[in-house]
Amino acid sequence: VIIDAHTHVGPAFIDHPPLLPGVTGDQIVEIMDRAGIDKACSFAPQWEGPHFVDPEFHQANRAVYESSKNHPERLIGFARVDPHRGPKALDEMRRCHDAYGFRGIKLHPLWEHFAADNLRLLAPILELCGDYGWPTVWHTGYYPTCQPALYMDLAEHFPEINMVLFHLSYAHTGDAIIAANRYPNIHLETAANSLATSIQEVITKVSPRQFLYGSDLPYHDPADVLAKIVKQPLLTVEARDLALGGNMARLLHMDVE
Amino acid sequence: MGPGLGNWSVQPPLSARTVEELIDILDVARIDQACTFAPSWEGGDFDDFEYSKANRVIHEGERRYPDRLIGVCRINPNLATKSLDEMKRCHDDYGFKGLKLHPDSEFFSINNPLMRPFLDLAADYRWPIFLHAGFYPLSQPALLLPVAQDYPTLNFLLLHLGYRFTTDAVLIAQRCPNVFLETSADSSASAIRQVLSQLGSERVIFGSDLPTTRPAEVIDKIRMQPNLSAEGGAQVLGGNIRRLLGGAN
Repeated sequence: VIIDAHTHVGPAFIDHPPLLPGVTGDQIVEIMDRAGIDKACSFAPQWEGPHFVDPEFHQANRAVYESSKNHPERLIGFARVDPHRGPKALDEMRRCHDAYGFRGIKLHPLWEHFAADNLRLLAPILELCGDYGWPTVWHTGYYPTCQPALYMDLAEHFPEINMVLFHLSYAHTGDAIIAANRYPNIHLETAANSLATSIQEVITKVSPRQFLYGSDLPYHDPADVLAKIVKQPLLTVEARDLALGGNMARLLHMDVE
Repeated sequence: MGPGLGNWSVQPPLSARTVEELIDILDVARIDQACTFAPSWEGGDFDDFEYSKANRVIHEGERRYPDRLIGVCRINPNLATKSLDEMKRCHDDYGFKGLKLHPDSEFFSINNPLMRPFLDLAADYRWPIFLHAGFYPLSQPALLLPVAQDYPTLNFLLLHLGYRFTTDAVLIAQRCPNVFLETSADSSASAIRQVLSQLGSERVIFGSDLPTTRPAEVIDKIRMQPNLSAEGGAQVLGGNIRRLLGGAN
């Protein structure tokens, strides 16, 4: 099974058109079909105004739900919230869990402007994720809010919560490897234009249980990212299967063949 | 200055939640006047995503101390027309004298075409732009180059000397006569010396970022500069910003 850990869908694309069309669930599934992807974690794109005003991700999460409703076997809804909204963010998470049946949460320190080691802000959110058994997926890669070293505090305080650091942390891949080697609940993910050499470095230095595929569809073409993984000469068949779907299935508590 | 500071994850070394506290800090540091604007909205008990409450607090403080405080408007550009309305209120009703923009806090870049309505209005108002600068990928100084060229009548302050991007900030200022470098936060004495030697005292502006920095520390770093004349020091410590603010004095 191939699971893409990182896809966006929703009306916010009106203000930042992506590489491929990704406004509706049907469009996402069409792209997945072309790339041979079985399932995808699906969440809202960034909110950055001005035509679609939704700073609390309330409309965006509902759009993710509606777009995935017709593809229950293909699209796995993930919530997005702005942690600064405090109790409102927790309410949105409850709605995403109880009413929408979402299976995880995406958090973006750069967009929502908080530091990834801000435990005061993030603890209530992570505690609720613990109750729900949700994996947490994180934008990473930029100093000073989301470089990988900041995630070590969270990983240590919430050892039972799985964390996926997106983009192999861009220019900070070396630090992400150090964090993943210390904390087994940290996983590294390939979305966007990860370099083949960065993927190779992760494959050789990180447990195969902590490395996984994601594309950032529709900002990026999933076929590009998949090819960079599959072509890795040092990747065993077992490690490849874990990377392309096995690890994400485990984080989602899914039974797959 | 403002109540939003109460929600900050890291509390600053000084307190400036009220105007009295702000004036006390200015008195201690012997600062005559200060451009003052709202801190970043970080959520919590003070709910003010649109900065409308924060701007009003600045206005009320300025009204009590008109000889000491110069109000500067803060907005979230993602709110489009609402933020244009906030700018109009700050200009027409409050008499503010400039615009603070924070790309990292509000998530945008100054070179995004969506910023044009705000820059156009600021140009109409003859407001200088106080632009937070210093972090890739949203607020590195290079993003300002095409904007400063497109708006030659607007003056821009690159705050914090662009932090780790001081060299880039100098390169932009060398190409754009309407770009000024400002010293706030923990700028090092050596960074201040660098910008003074490369740009001259007429392009460098004192600012402190109080209450996150003790202003006397920044003033000391400017006064200790070996090659800064008394006249140059007067420019950095007030003459330059007074010129950019036009009517304010």
